[in-house]
Amino acid sequence: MSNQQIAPHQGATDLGSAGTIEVELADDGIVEVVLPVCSEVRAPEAQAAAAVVRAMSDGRKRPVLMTLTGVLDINDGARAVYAAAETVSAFALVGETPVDRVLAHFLLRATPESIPARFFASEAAAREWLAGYL
Amino acid sequence: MNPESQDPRLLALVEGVIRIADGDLSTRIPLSGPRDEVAAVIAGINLMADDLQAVYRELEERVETRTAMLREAQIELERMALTDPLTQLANRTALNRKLSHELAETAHGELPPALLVLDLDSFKGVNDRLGHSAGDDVLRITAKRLADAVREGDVVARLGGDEFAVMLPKSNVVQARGVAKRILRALAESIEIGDLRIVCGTSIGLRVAEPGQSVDELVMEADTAMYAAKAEKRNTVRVFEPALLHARRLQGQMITELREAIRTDQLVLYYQPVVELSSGRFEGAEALVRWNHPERGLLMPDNFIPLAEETGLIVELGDWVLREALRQLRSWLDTPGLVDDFSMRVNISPTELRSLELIERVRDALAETGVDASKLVIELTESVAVNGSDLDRYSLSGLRHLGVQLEIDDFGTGYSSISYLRNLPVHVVKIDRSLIEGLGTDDGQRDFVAAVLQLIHACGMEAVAEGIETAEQAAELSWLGCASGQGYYFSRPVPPADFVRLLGRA
Repeated sequence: MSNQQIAPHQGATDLGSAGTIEVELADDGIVEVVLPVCSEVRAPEAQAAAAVVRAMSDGRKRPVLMTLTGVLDINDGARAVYAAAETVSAFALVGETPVDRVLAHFLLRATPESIPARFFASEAAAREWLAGYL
Repeated sequence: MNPESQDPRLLALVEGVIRIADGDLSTRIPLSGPRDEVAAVIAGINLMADDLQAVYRELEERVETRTAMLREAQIELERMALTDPLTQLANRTALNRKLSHELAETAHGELPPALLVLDLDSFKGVNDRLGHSAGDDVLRITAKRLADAVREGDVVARLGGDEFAVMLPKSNVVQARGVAKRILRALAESIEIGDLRIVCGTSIGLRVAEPGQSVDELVMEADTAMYAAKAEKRNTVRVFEPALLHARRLQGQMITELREAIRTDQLVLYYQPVVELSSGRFEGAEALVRWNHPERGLLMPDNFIPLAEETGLIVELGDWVLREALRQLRSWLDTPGLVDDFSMRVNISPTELRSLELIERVRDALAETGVDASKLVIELTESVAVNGSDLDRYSLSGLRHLGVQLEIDDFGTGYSSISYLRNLPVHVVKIDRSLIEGLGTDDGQRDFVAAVLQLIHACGMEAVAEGIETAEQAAELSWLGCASGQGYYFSRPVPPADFVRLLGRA
């Protein structure tokens, strides 16, 4: 299992941007992306995370489980990075609160048509769904 | 409702929505407290504001890009509307605009603009003989030379066809004449088209604007000066003067009248006998056109043939002359005992020779009158016979095939080379009057004419002498072996009725 943490954009001054994006390739072949709690996700860290996802994919498409529980905001630059995903076979967005759900649906709208994507309130359900895209 | 129990985030939410509604799309509502429904609404509104801001930005960028494209297209359209596509010079509209601006400046005390108008002296010939593509090349090269010859700030325009103009802002006659002379020199240089070298030359009209003058007046007056320059001699500059306007009006009137004259038979033919020198017998007549003008009386060809040449009316006029001369010959041939072996000479201009219908018209006129082709002699100028284009040669050989006789007019006035004479498709050579002068009194001249006659005979051609004024000249020419002659000694050109009387006496 590999685990990487992506530091937030260095130039960021927003107090909300304090977390890191964790990217991990789970044993079951699902790439796990965890957005930082109480942080605003912007394009630079999104790009860095996307690069890691690409590297982990190793030339093939992999399903991505993205946890956005507690994230403060995902700005339009970061959403554009998400929308440009290439090595992803499916996105499962997981969150717990109403805020997570709203943020997730803004991401879902930006998902390329070729990539299946859904919101899940439970990680187990998400993993089960993603298993179909391994 | 107890205000103290109200969630403070709701107040922030209302304030934020109001700011967004007011147009401040950068507004973001702080997301704090529990991640409950209220927080979800705040997050949603923030994201929608994000989206809205992005959409607006994109729209603004697109509008900006499109506006820039439109502006560029508009500039290009304007440039095209003001540029002559062939030469890339300013066009007439652009010139008028600049002139208008300069004339307005004059009203504020600035020096007036000067305008040069010019066209190429022999451009029509280039187009006719070498084709329009060669013509376009000549125009492009001319445009380049004009642009190189003028000063910075002068405007060179193509007005259409082979007509160009140069506007000199804040100028005077001396300056403008200087530029005009530079243009004359530049255009006097030959232009290479394929293997050919062409010299077009130009005539330039010059007009310095008068206070209060309109653009149209200025252009018209410069144009008038150009026509005067062309009428004088080629490769000159003519400065406008009011008297030219009168002359131009007269000319315009005369073109209309001449067209009318051809239509309504105001033209008449006079005939000058061509005499067999050894016997004094009338062997033929040369048809010479006159214009019986209703107000100005009988006009000689010099007064209207150049105008007819210039306006293209010469083709119509020539056709009239040909038909009338043949009709007259038919009538004389039909009168018993009047003429027997008798030919009719008709002059033909270079323009007519270049007309593709010439052969057909001659054939039709012969057929209509039933005159045998061998009795028609067509007189051409020496330059056409010598320098003619392929089309000229085509016309000449077509006429020969019809059986028409060809005669070079005014021989001895143009080209001194004698080697070409043998190859010319002609039967008869008319020796110019300038060679006859002095004959009968000057022995040297007699030897010279004898040599010319020998040359003509050596080429297998017959000679006709024109301008014979005395019995001595007639006798001398006869003795030297010149077969035929014409001139005042025998008769001036006379109307048909008088000619018949002459025939009776001969």
